[in-house]
Amino acid sequence: MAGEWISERFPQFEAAIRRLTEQHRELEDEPLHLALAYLPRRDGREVDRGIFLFEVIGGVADRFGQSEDLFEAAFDAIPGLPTGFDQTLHLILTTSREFEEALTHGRPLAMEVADAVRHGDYKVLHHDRVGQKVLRQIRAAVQPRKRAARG
Amino acid sequence: MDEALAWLHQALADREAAEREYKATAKAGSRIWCHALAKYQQTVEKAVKAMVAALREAGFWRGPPIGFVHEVERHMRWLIRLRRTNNPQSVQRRLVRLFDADTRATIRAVEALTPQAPPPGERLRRNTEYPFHDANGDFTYPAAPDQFSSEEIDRFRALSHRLVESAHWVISALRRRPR
Repeated sequence: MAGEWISERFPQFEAAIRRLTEQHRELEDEPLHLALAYLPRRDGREVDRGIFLFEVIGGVADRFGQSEDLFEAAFDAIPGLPTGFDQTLHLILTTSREFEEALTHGRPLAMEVADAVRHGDYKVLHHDRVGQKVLRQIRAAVQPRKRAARG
Repeated sequence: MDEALAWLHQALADREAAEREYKATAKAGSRIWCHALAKYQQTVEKAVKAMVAALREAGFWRGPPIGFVHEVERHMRWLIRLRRTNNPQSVQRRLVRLFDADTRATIRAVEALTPQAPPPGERLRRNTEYPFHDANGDFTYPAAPDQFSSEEIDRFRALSHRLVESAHWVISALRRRPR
């Protein structure tokens, strides 16, 4: 349910995810432009387990072309490799250019992030100027759907 | 800079050199692909080693240093045998998908084009750098026209692009792994 994630689930891992985001900001060779925690909908339903962190980064990745979709990696705690989270952390990585194209072409992970923003199930943890532009793109992408729904 | 990024940056530089050579050869219409192929092979080798270094730095694997051996077969063997979780998006399972049978075969094929001493009594094998024996046992050389087909160059070019970009995302994710 919209709003429930913000008020109930997010606070449970907020401190840990903010700490992780701060660590990612320290990777100066891959500048963090945007970090956004969100609640995805997969297979038509809200995902009830897992922490989803969407990050737009710069650096080497800016030299690459478009992929079929954004890159997602999941981290579970396994013996000898703790994560500090009691749930799976899903890290979705992209660049601003790749994300813009992914939004345009309706790539699944880009649409998933946009969908979470449309439902208000997200929390921006960090953004710089580039990240602000990406946020505007996402909000612009979900805007017409709102109008269509109202119409 | 950590070791994984150092390997990755060198892989990217090799890929750029390969692309320059590939485009110049294509533009000239010379069909001398050996130089571009050698660089694509080096790109593949370094991209794999970059992933190996990142996995070791992240604690996924404890083994000997990468070393100076060019072939990556031994690395591929354990890259697809890392301790896994059930999550299909885990780095371990991503590596299994990345190094599927076709990809491993293509990597072996491009590796087979590095110069290697033949077993005693056997002919010198086709490679991208040194003279070798043709089917009749005569000497030829890698830069002789049409020693390598355009299908080969396209196949190895695509492999190098895929591996270096995958290596980047795997490394970026591992650097961001919660600890």
